[in-house]
Amino acid sequence: MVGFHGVSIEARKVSLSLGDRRVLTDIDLRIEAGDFFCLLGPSGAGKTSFLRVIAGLATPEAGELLIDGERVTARPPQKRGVGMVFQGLGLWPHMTVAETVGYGLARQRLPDETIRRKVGTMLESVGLTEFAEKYPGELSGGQQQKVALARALAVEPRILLLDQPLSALDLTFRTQLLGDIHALQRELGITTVMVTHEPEEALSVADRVAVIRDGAIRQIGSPAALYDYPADSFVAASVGTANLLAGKVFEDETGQMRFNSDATGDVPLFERLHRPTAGSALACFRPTSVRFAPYDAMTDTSDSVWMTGRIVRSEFRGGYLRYSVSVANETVVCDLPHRKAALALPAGSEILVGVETSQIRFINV
Amino acid sequence: MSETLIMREHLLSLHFRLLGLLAGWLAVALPAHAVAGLHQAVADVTPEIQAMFRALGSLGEVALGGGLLVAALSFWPHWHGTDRPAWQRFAAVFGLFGAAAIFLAGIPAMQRATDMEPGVHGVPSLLLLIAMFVLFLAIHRKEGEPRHVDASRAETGFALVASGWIAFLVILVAVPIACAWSLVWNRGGSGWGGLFGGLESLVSARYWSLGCLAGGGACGSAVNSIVLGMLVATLAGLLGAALALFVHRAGSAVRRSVAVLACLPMITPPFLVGFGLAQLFGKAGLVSLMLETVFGVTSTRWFFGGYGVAMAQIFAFFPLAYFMALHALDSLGRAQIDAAKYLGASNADVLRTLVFPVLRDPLAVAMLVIFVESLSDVGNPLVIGGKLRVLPAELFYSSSSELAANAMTGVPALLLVVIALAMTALKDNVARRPAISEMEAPSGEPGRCDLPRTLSWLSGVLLVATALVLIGVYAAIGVGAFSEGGKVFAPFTLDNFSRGFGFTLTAGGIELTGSAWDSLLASLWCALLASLAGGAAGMLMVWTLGKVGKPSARFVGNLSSYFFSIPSVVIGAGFMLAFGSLGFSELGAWFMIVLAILIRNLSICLRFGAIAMSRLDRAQIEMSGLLGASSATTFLRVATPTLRPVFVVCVAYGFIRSMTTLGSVLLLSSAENQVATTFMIDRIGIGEFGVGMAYGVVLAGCIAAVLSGGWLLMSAHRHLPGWGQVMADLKAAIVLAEKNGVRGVAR
Repeated sequence: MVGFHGVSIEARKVSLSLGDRRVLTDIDLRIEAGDFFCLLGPSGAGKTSFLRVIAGLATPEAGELLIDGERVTARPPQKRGVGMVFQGLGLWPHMTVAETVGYGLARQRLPDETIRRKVGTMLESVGLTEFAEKYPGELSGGQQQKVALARALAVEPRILLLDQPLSALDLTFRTQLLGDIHALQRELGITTVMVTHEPEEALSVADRVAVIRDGAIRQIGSPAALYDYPADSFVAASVGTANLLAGKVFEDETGQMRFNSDATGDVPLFERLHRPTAGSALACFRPTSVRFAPYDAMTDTSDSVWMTGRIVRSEFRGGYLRYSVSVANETVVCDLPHRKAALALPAGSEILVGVETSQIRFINV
Repeated sequence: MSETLIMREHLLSLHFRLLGLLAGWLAVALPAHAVAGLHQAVADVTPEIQAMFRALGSLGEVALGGGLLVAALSFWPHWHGTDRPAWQRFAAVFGLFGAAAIFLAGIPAMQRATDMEPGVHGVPSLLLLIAMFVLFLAIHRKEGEPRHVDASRAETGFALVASGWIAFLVILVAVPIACAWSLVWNRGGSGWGGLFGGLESLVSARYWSLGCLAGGGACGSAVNSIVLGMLVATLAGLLGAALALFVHRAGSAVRRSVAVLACLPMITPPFLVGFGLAQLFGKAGLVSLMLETVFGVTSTRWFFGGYGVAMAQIFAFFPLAYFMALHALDSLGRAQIDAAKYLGASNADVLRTLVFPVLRDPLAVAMLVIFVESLSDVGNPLVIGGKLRVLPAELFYSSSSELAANAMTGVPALLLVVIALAMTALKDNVARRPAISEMEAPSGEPGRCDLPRTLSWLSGVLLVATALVLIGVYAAIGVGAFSEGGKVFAPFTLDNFSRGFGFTLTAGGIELTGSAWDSLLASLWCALLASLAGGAAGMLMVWTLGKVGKPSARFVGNLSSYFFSIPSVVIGAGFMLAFGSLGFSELGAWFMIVLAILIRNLSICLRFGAIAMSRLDRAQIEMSGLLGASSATTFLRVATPTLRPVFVVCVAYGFIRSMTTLGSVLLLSSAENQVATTFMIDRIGIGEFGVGMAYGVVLAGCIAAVLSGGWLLMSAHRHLPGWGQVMADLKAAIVLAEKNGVRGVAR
């Protein structure tokens, strides 16, 4: 399809209040042209508000917004070239699919023939050609979603904004539609900003993700960077399951930095690894980073931390087995790959839980 | 499916429904008179046979026969499908109607209306019982289930309540109206002759003349009523929509004050609005005098007649359109408007492509309801109508003067019923169309659409003008109550009150010497009884309909909806025709008045019940059942506490409506048993305007006192909803009751 080109979006110290409530505080970020960008955070974090600022449906009280290098802070929504899919879709029940998709084109006073052609192309690319004369009420949830997407894309916007577009769908369909949206975005090369509170959605399609909480951005980065090097415990927990063991970092008499907690014991921290400063800290590692060993095995402690624990619970999750292991006073979650006919360790088993030191990230709190 | 196709389908189903109504009526009425006609043909046979034919010639027997036929049809192999209970329900209702008609016809006083031999009570009572039992079975049985009364006792109870409800409506509404039919048919003799005579009187020039258009005299009262209704519906609808468009975007302070302002006409007797307007725009009215002194415009009596009635009805009924339009606008989600905005729609575009389509159907419903309200408004034509002849006034005059002569009484009633039912069928069709609100965004954030400047100004000006007129109306009544003869510029006096509500203190206590005390106290009692009974009936029926199974609930809802759309003035007339000549004691007459008020309120009571039920979580009820509570226990212990706040609002609203109703009680009241509104209209009728207005003030005071008394009582027990909740519930109940009637009250 032609007519689409990606543009960059930049927010500089954007702040927004609704009534007395501050919903966005000093948001600074840059979204590159053609990126699929995700805003991830719990509900009420300010994700949707930021999306509305980009769309021009909310005006920030401070800061400015640039699209393609131009200041657009005061520009009305229809002049910004954005397409948006709302959380509630906002479909119009009294208009057919074709009327809905052609609505924006009709507002541009295009000739009927052009509108018909463009609507046809758009419906074809989302696979709704045969539903052109249906009303929203006659469509399934997924089809309604596609209508909303087609309506947003039909005017060939520079930016596509998706406000939790999949929240109303069931899991299997969600994955499929997300794949479709992603493929379409790649094909069109349109800059896309999606808001979601599902880490899987964000991590699977986004080029970059911003984790947002209480109206402030906590960390921006590629999905892998957020997953592997979370800036704080909140980010660590928002992008997936994380083990967070509380302890403290101190410098021993030889000048060596060490981390100590009841669960891990004494762990030397090496220069080449990301080093926290002395004080309270969390040892953070993913459930997939662990290995199990028999409780009396001879273990190598030069590059790994070994913790003695007792299995409290095991859950079969299909591709992996999730064990909850009680270590000292904490619970460590461990995911071990499952193969056909493999035995699960029974609850109550004493085991050693090993994590390579390089897989642990130490976060100051 | 295209718009036109949907339209065609709606029209088709409307035609079917109207045809069904007509066919049902013809199926009963025509054979009745055909058979009755036979007794003339067999004039030379024995008197016994002749009497039998004559007895057969009543609607009751034919309805009963129809019922049996339908019942027999359900056993026919072809019909022997899964929906036998549906046939049974129809058969039972037919039978019920027939048996009740025969039963009432057997009462000597009814002979005149039904041409029936007196004194046959045993058989009709038995038939009535059988019909009720069949109805009970049909409701009790769920679709496709074998016919056994083997379900739990609770379900039996619910089926009993539901069938009792239908019986109540059939006997109290359908049969009395059938009496009006009979009156018309038998006017020119019985049999075919009567039939044609009746048909002739239905289309007589007295009702359908177009003389005023052709320039040759007055128009018929049906024509007047229809034109007036169309005019009032259109203007009131537009006024309501304009105000809603303005208020929709305004702050909550404007919203609240307009809500209060719009509620005032809804809780005032409509004729009092008309009377207040007359104080402003009549020949000696405030506004007319001002125009005369300032601009030298000679004031005339233009107000008394069609213009005045139309104006009064517009101000009395626009709140309905206002509430429905506001409700529709509020249901427009923010996402729906935002989506149009970023696609480049201007404010005018949003208005044209979103707001008007959203407003169209609710406004059409509101206009149709207002049409029926205007059609059945009897107070305004009586008070300020002058020479204007409309159907309800005709009904009033003919029933007071001509009932004894067995003349025209039935015709206006029949015309009112037919027009009202047709409008209701039309309204149902509109209301059935998919509403934009059904697609509302889950976030539920209300959208705010900005208006083009001119429209915004226009609606603002209309709002201010409406507010001024309404405030003027109530101020004029308030001032008039304290002035000599009710005139605005007359000296201050308390005479109006002392004549109506005077009392003297004696050794034995207080002696009420005012002439209005009796009617006021009677009104208070009737309203209290009717509102409490209505509230209880609403909650109970919604609870019941939720338990009898979907098909039965739908059947009961649809049937009730049609019953409730009958103008209240006709229900009053029907009561008078059917039961008025039974020679009731005074207590019986009061009972009739309470019943008439109750029936008028039931539809809104059921809506309140449905709103209350929607507050209940299904899981809460099911959990109670799982823990072993009986249905009654669940209702009392789990449901009632949740229902109580809505019940309070329902009773309060029902109380106000009952205090201010005129149409349903006008024909039932006589010099001995008057209620507040009929007494007021009598005072105004004999020129005691001051006393009438003083009564209006006292009525408002009484309502306020009772409500605040109830409020204090309830607040002691903390059963009170907040004001916002009250207004929201009230609005929802009114909007839904007018839009869907009783249809779909059960979940």
